[in-house]
Amino acid sequence: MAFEDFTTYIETDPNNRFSVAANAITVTALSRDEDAWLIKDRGAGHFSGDFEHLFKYTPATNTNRAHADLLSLANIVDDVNGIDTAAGDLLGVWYFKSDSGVNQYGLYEIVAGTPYQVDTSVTNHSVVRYPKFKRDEGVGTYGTLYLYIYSDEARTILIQTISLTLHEKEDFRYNYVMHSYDDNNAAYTLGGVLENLDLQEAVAVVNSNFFTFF
Amino acid sequence: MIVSYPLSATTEASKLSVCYRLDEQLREEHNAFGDLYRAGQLVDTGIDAFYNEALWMDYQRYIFMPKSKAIHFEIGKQIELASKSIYWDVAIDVNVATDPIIYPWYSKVLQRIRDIAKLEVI
Repeated sequence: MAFEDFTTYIETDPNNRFSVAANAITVTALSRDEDAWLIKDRGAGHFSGDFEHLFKYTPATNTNRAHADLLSLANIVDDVNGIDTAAGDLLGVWYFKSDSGVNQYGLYEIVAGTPYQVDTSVTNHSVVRYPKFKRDEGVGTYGTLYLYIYSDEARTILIQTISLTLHEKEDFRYNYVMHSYDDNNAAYTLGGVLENLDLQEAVAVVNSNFFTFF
Repeated sequence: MIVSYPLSATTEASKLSVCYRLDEQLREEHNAFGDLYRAGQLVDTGIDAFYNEALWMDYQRYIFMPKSKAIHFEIGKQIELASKSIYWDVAIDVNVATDPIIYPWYSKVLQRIRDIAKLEVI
C-alpha cells in the first residue's frame, strides 16, 4: 500500500478548515459557502479506464445538510457546485448529513453540467468507514461507478454497496480531496478526518538490469 | 456472469427487488468468508491446497466482484427501465401529494406551462 502524501497537494483553504499531515486531513466546519480543497494535477487524461481508490473516513461534527465531496476527479479547478454550473465533468464520492440526521455517502457524476447521483439512503454511516471507490468501464455502455463501504481496515466486513451507471466515458486530470460544495449555505458545516488514501496506481518499474563486464 | 430472474419477476420493480435481495445475500456471503479469513480458517484442503490469504484474494477476484458487477449492472438497467416505463397511468401532480400552501400558485404556473405547450403544438 502506498498512501498519498497530502503535504504534496496544493491546498486552497482561505478559512483554515484543514489541518494537513502526510497521510491525513482533519477537516473542521467546512461550510457550503466557501471554495476549499486539496488538489493534485496529474496531467491531462491521467485517470483513464478503470480505477480503484481506497481511503478511511471518520466523521466528526456535522450539521444537517452538511455536504462535501471526500474525493473527486475533474478537469477544471473549482468547487463541486462551480464545476456543475461551469458545465464541467466530475466523478466523486460525497458525504452528506440529511435533514433527518442520517450520515450518507453518495456517488456523483457530472456530465457537461448535468448531475447524476445515488446515495446510501437510510443506513447511518456516522462512524469510521473504509470505502473503496471504483470505476469499471467494462460494465455498461460507459462504465459503472461503485462505492463499497466497509467497517474494517482489511475490508472484510462489507456494510453497503452502491453503484451509478455512468453517462459518458471521460478521462480526468485532477484529483481532489475534501472538495467543498459551495452553494452559498454557510450554516451547513462538515467535519471529519480523511486518511490513508491509496490510489492503487502501478508504480513505474525501474530498470534494474545489471551488466557484468569481465 | 448474468442475473437469472425467477419467472414471477416480470416488472422492473420486481426485478429490482430481486437484485437488491441478491446484493444483500452477496454482502452476507462476503462477510461470512471475511469472518473465516480473519480467523485464519479459510482453507481448501483439495489437491491445490489453497490457504487463507490466497483463497480470500481469489474469493474477492473471481467470485465476489463478478457477482457484484452483474447485480449492479442489472440494478442500473432496471432503474433506467423503471424510470421510462409507462406501465402505470400516473401523473406527477395527481399522485404525489402537493403542499396545500404552495399549490395555488403552483397550479397556475402549471396551467401556463400547459397552455404554452398547446400553443407550440398548434
